Amino acid sequence: MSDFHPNEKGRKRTAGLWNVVFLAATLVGVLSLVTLVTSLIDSCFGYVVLQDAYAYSEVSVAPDKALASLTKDELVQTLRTTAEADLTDLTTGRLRLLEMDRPLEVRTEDDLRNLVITEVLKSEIKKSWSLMESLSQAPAITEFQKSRYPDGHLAFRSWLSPEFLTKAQSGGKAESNGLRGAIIGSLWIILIAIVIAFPIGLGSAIYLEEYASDNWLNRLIQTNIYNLAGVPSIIYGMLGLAIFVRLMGPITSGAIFGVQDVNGRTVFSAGLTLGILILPIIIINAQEALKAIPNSLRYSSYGVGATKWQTIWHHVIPASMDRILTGTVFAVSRAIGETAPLVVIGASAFLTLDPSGLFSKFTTLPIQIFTWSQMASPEFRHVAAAAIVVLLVLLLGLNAVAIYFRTGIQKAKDAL
Amino acid sequence: MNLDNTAGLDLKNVNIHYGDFHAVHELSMDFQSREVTALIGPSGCGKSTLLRSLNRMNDLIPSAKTTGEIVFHGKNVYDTDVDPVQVRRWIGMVFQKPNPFPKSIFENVAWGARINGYKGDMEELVVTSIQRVALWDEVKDKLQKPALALSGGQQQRLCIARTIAVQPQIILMDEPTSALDPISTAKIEDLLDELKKSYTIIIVTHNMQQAGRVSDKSAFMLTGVLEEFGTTNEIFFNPKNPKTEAYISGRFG
Amino acid sequence: MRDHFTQEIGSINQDMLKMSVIIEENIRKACKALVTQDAKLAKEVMSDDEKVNELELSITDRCVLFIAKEQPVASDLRHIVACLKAVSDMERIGDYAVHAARRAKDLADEKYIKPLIDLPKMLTLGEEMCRDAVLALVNGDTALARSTAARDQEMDSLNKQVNRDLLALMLDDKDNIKQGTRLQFLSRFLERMGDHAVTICSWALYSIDGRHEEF
Repeated sequence: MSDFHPNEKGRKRTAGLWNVVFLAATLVGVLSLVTLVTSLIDSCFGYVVLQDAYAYSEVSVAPDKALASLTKDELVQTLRTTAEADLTDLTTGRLRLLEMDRPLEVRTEDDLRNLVITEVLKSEIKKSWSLMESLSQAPAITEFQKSRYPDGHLAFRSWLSPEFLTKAQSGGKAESNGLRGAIIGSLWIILIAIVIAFPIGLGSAIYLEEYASDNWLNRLIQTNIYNLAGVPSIIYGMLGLAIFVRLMGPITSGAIFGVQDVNGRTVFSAGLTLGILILPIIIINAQEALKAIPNSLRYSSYGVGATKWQTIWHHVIPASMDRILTGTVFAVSRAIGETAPLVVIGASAFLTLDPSGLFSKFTTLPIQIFTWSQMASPEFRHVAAAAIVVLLVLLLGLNAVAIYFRTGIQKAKDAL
Repeated sequence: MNLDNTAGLDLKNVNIHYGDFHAVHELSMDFQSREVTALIGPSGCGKSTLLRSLNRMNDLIPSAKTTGEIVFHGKNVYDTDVDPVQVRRWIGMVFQKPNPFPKSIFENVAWGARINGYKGDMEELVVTSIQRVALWDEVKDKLQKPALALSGGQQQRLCIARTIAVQPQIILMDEPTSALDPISTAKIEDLLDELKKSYTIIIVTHNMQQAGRVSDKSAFMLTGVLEEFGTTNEIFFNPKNPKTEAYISGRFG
Repeated sequence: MRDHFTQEIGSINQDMLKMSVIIEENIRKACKALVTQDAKLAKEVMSDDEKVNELELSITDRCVLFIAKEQPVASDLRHIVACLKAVSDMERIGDYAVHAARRAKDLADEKYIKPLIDLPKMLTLGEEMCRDAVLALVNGDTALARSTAARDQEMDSLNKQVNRDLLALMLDDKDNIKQGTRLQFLSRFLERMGDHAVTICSWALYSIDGRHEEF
C-alpha cells in the first residue's frame, strides 16, 4: 500500500489537458471547414449591375410588351430577326451554333428569354458584389449603380442556379458560362475509369490474395503496387500522354474506327489514365477487404467439398463486397478531383460542344474551376465558387453512397 | 471405388511434416466403420494435424507435407490422381469454433449439397439434416434468418447439419465442443450416439471425460507418436502404456 | 500435477491404515481378554468398535466425493473402488473382534473347559492377515496379497482343530456342551475373519491389475 503514490489530481489534470488539446484540434478543423463553406457561399450570391448594350425597344418584335411577357414565338422571332438584320452583336453564325446546340423551338420560354437577354440585348454585368457585401452595404451599392451606371439596373443574382448547371461553357463573359460540359465530361471519364479499374483491380486483388504463392516475384509485385498508390498523379498524366494519347493515338482518337479529324486527347484517353491512376488504390483496398475475411470461412467452405473458386465466389467475395465497394467509391471520389494529370493529357480549356462519346474532347469539373479562377475578370470568381460548390456536393453525394453501401449491405446481412 | 457401404480409414506409416518440423511419426492405425474414435493427447501432440490430413485439409497449408497411406475404400487419398475436393465431400469436417456461412440457416445447409450436384428435393434434405442434429424445433420458423444470429451451440449443430447434408461417410470433428457451454456440449455428445449409426466419426478432444463418454475406441498420441490405441473401456480401465495412464490421470499434459 | 488429487488419495490410504490399526488393536485386546478372562478389557473392545464403524462411513464418503470431483480413471479409479469394497470387509473383521470380546466377557467368570491355545492363535492370525491385506491394498503389493491369501489355509486348519478338540470334550462330558458350543461358534466367526481378509487381498489385486481373482 505504501509504495503507491496515486497522484490522482495530477493524472486528472493531465487527462483534462489532453482532452482540451484534442478538442482544440477538432475545432481548428471545423473552423477551417466553416470558413471554406462560408467563403464559397459568399461568392455564389450577390448584387450585380446589369446594363444592356442594346435597347430592348429597338430589337423586340413587340416593343410595347415587356420582355417578361413576350410569348415563346415572339421570343424566337426576336432572335431570328435581330440575327438576320444584324441589329446587334448576334450573328447568324452564332444563332446557328445555338440552334445546333439545341433548336430554338425545343427550348423553354425562360431559356429563350435568357438568350434574348444575353445574346440580343447583350446584358452585361458591369460589377458584382459578394453576399456579405450585398447584405451589409446595400444602400452604398444602390448609390454606386445610380451614379456610375444610370442606364443599367441592380439585380440580385444567384450564380449557383439550375441554369448554371445546364448551360454550356461559352468563354468571354462570366455570366454566360455554364457547367454542363464539365459535368458531362467528368461523368464520362469517371465511368470509363470505373469500367476499366474495378474489374481489373478486383481481379488482381483476388489473384494476389487467394491464388498467388508467397515467392519473391509476388512480393515484388505487391511492393510495387503499394508504391504506385503513392505516385504523384501528374506522373500518371505524363504516362497517359505518352501512351494513351500518343502511342495508342489511333485507338484513343477513334481514327481506327473511322472518326474524322481528331487527336488522342479524348475522353477515352482521360478515362484510361484515371483508371490506371485509381487502379493501385482499388487493388490495395480490395486486398485488405479480402484479408479481413477470416480463414475459418474458407475452411468451412472447403470442408463441404467446395473448390477454391466456389469458395471465393460464393463466400469470400460476398462477405467482403461492402468493404470493396466502399473503398472503390472513395477511390472514385479521389479521381473526380484529379486535375493535374488531365491537364497534361490535354483537357480543353474551352469546350464548345458537349462530350458526346468516347472520342470527344473533354473538360472536367476541377479543370473548369482552374480555368475560371485564372480569368482576369473579377466576375469569374463567382462562377468558380459556384463550380466548387457543385463539385463538393458531388463528392458528398458519393461519400453518402459509400456509407449507404457499407451500412446497407451490413443491414441486409443481419436481417436477411 | 464402391462407395455403397460406410467405410473406415486405414492408415499406414503416415508421416506429416510442417517444413522441417516432423509433426506425426510413422503412424499406422485403422479407424473402424460406424464407430466413434477419439484422438487424445496433450497440446501439440499432432492429433489435430493428423485429423486435418485425413481429408486433405492440410493441403491448404503450404508447408505441410504428408507421406504414407491413408486408405479410404481401398484407395489412398493422397494418390496423385485423387482430387482433394472430392475427398472432402466424402470425409467432412466440423471445426472447433462454430463457423456457419454468413447466409440464412437454410442456405447454410443447402449450399454444400447444391455445389456437389444434389438433384433431389433440396427442402427435404435441409429439413432432414436439421432434424437429425436435433435443431429443428429451435429453427423451424426461421429458416430464412441469418445463421449467425443463432447461439454458439445452435451454430455448431448447424455446422454438423451442413456437413451431413453432403452425405459424407466419415465425419472428422476437431474439438467440436471446446468453445461451447456444458448444455450445448451435452446435446452434441448425445448427437454422436445417433450419428455413429450412419457415419464413421473421428473426434479430437482435450476433454478426457468427453472421450470416455462418447467414444468406442481411443488413440493416445504423444509428440506425434501413437502411444496406445484400443477400446475406450480398456484405455480408461486399464491402459497398457504407462504414459497413457499418466496422461489420462492428469499427471501431465 | 494434480496435487490435490494425489494428496486426497494418500489421505484415504492413511485412513484405511488407521482403521486397520484400530481393528488389529481390538483383535489383540479381544485375544488378551479371552485368555486372561478380563471383562473390563472386553468392554473396551466393544466400545472401540464405534470408531471402526465411523471410519468405515467416513472413508466411504470420501471415496464417493473423490469420484465425483476428481473423475479418476484407470488405476486411480480401481484403487478407490477397491478401497470402497475393502472397508466393508474390514468392518466385518472388526465385528468379529467384538464377538470374541463378547465371548470373553460372557465366559469371564467361568473356568475354561480346556486351556485356550488355538483360538488365540486364530485371533493373532486374523490380526496379521488383516494388517497384511490392508497393507497390500494400500501399497499395491501383489506378492503380499497372494501370500496373505494363502495363509487362510492355516486359519481353516486351526478352525478344524478347534472343532475336533471341542467335539471330543463335549462328547466326553455333557457339562462341557454349553461352553463348548459357544467356543465353537467363536471359532467359526474367527475363521470368517480370514475369509474377509482374503477378500481384501483380491480387491488389492483388482486395484493393481484390474482382474478379479479367486484364491
